[in-house]
Amino acid sequence: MRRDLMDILACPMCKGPLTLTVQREKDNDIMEGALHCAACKETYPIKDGIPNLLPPDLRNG
Amino acid sequence: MQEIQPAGTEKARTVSSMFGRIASQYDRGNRVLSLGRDQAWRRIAVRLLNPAPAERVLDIGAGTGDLSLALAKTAGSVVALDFSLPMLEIGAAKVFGARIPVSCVAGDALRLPFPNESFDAVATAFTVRNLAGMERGFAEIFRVLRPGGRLAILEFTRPGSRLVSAVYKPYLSLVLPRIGGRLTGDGPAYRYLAASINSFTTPKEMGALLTGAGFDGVRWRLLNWGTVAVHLGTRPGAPARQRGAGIHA
Repeated sequence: MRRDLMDILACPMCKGPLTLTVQREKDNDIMEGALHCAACKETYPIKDGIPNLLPPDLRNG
Repeated sequence: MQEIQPAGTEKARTVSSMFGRIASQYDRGNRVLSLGRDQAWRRIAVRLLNPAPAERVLDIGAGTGDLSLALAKTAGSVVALDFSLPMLEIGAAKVFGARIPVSCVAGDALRLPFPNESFDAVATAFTVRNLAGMERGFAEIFRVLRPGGRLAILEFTRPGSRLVSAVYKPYLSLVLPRIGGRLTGDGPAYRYLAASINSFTTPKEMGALLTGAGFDGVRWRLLNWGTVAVHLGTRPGAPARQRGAGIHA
């Protein structure tokens, strides 16, 4: 995912802001990392360049 | 009926895993089962939504990315959202190298991972029928649209004409599951699709739901002998601040 996507990403539960942690970046694309919502104490993974912001109950569904 | 029309979160999980199973064959199934028309319907929906070069557009239920690609021809940027990662992974490969950035996000249409008023337009194709709660879905779309922002929904609809129904219903219940099953190896998934189309709203009912959700200027255009519709609506109000060209005040 591109870094500027952070401008419009929010926690799906509380719609609050997310903090980005980058594990691997390739050509300005974040390939692996995590998005954390401090309010919900929930972490959303970024895998293969796709942020997974599915609510926890659907993440493995 | 419980198995093919489940409710609530269970429905979300069932539909998600179904699309996960048929993902790799989904595009081919669409082309064959719509007799090659589905891409033309997407282009019509995009033309009616008319995204401007500076606008940010959200595609809900983007799946394998066909509508996002059509939107990317005129929009400023596109966010492609789907709750099926296998579908989205195929989509991500397809939209790579599009004219403008198409960002893929895994997410639930009923709990969108975006702040209020973050999009100039929302488009969705063959998705709202599958939502576990259409009203909640429309409320979420309303929330993420800026005031003055537009919505276009491309979806199957129940034909009003008895003559069309007489041909269409057997097609849905007999032909579609058989061909879909053969193309993708998953007959039950296409039986679900057929049942979900057969029990879906009329254009007028869908229009009333949109008006009920607060949308203004709700109207629709029928396609394919009244079996497919594009519904349009606008979130009332003028944009709080003009972004880019912002000509849709």
